[in-house]
Amino acid sequence: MGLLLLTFLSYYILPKLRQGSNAQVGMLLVASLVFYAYETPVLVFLLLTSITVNFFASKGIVLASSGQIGKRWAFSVILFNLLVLAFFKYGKLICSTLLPTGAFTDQLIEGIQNIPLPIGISFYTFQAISLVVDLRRQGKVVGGMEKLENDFHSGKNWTSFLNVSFYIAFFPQLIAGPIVKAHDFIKQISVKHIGNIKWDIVIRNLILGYFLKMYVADNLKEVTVLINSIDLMGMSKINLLVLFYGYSLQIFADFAGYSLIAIGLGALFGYTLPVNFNFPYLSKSITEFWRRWHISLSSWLREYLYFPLGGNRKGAVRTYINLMVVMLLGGLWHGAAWSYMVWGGAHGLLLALERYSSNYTSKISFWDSKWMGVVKMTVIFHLVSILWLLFVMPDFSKAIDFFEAFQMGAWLLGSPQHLFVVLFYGSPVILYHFYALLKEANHERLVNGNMIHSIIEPIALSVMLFLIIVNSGTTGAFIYFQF
Amino acid sequence: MKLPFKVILISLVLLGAYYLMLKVAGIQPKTAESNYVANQMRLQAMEYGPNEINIAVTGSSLTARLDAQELTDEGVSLNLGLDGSNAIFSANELIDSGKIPNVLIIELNTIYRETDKNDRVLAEGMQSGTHKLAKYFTLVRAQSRPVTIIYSKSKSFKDSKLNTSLEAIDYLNIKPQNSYIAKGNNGNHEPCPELENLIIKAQEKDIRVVLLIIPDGINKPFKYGSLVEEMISKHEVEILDMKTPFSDKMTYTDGLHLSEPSAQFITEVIANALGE
Repeated sequence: MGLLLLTFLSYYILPKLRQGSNAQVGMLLVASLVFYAYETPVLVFLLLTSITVNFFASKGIVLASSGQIGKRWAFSVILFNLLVLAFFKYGKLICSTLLPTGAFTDQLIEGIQNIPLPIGISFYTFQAISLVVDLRRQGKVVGGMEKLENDFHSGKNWTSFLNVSFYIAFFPQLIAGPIVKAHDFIKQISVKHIGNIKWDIVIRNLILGYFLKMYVADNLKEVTVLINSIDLMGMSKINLLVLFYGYSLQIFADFAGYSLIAIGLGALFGYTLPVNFNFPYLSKSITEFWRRWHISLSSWLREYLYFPLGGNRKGAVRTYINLMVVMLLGGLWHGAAWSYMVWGGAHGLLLALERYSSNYTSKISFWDSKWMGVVKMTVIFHLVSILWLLFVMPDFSKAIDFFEAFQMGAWLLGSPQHLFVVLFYGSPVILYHFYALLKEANHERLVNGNMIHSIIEPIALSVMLFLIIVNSGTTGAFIYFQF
Repeated sequence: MKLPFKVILISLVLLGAYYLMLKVAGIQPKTAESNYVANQMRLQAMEYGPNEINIAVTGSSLTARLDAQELTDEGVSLNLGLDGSNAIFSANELIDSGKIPNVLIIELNTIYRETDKNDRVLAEGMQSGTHKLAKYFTLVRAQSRPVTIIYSKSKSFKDSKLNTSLEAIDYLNIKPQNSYIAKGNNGNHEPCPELENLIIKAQEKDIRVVLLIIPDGINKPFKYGSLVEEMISKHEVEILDMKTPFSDKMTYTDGLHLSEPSAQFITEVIANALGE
């Protein structure tokens, strides 16, 4: 908090001292590195290595004498990024499951298995790849390469070391996103003045974000933690359902909360970060779910993986394969466990099935009716929630235990304590989605009227702030920090 | 008026009104919707409460149900029964904090429970910024949480329907004993150095140590009787067995924990037993 305040004040004093955007960017970069190094200082060297390698590769792409050389630079640095990610994130998994016994000494395997996962590596690696790919694409535009070269020689925009470092390390999104694309972010770099801060956006995002994290997710965690810590077999069906719904609400509140905080902090320093969640539990299909959940990851995967693979332009079968590949890799991006891959694979399969069945469902007259919409929303919410169990229980046998316990358990309430917690702390997520439902159903007068903006919104935000102060849960790490 | 100013103003009004309401109504939750919050509530009562303590009860969620305020008419009494823990952690925290009670009650039902992780989380929580802030701002204390108050009140209301004819039970002759005959095992028990060290530590500070066996809804004799025998003979502590005479007369919320009327009754018995 102290660091944030100090950074904020110094950042906005700089323009008054007639300093340009470089001084402001430098200040934020230093603050970001201090923030990153706070827990495990040594990890900052990995981040700096990633920044340096990607900067020099960008330089190589811009100054390449031919398109072929530029392509080689791009290929090499993307490979470097992926190998670093694979080493730190998947070394353990590869050692324990893929390598034949005796391939390496026990000491080496143990050493690899004990390497800590650098926080945020999945996020900043994807941003670095975005930088390289966007540079290549920029260069392909007529006159694009000349402009980039000129920019490089004048130390501007895309190719300045400062800007590249800042883009990769900007602290609000460094740890858990939203994943920002180079072409959306770098163009925003300029001198920022305190008078231009959009305080409404800052306040709205910060309060809602902290409310979702500290009031909803951290309090729900007190109950959902039981999924992994106790013997599920003795639990009743109702208590298991309480845990099931509780986790679904918690993971949304935790991650959406973090993303809103990042957007709010970005706005505090004059940067617009992409919206990451758009009421995902209102989705009527898995395709729609991925347009509403972790939007920055799904759009990254679409832009930098699905489209280059051919997207849906190469026939039906190839489309299904592309969907599966993208979702399997998307699953694996979340963590080094087979369950994440199964999770991604299941989503891929559902996407493929949905695409296949759309030829038939489009002919059903009531398929798009209001009531069918409610049914679809309910089904999708439950499908997604079932798959979340693989997130909270990466150990397969534990996930299977959950379903067996559900099959065998009695329909008893047991202790109402857990039900109370999920109802009380989960209800804001439901209300939040209900608000969006009204908004999407075009009840404009209800959700966009003057009364909403002048009276109801400030009251709602104040109540949230009040609850953050007096009723927060135990501070816990954000779920997505582990990815 | 711009949104941030409106929000700050309304929030201040809400916080002020809530503070006044708590102050005027004197609302205090007895239990909480989560184990952690319940424990935090009790540990904060210890840390931020007065230094002079007459009776302190330490134990697990089984003893957490007892109404500390009713334990004595003289001075302050504390309930440090912690959910998911046992007497060792809270009793040590109390003595180490320099707040020396006249009487230390140690619940034995859960004395062998493995509590490492839970106690570590609690100890870390006591070092957190919010916990330290709570010393100066009562509004951020666990006991001020609105949801906790709602849960506690609704639980009290639900439990009140479990009333039994407790008035008819005679308990005036129940007093702490200096002897105990084990029924639950054949005189064998695992050593419990943590308990022994705790007793020694307390007695060095001239604290009267009373061991407590609380009704726990388990329809079997108390299992660690031989441990009680050993502690009495080695350290001359007293024992209050509430399980043997009252276990079948109590009501339990989940088959294990005392309902509020039963916990109230046991509190009365202990208060009477410890009173001169």
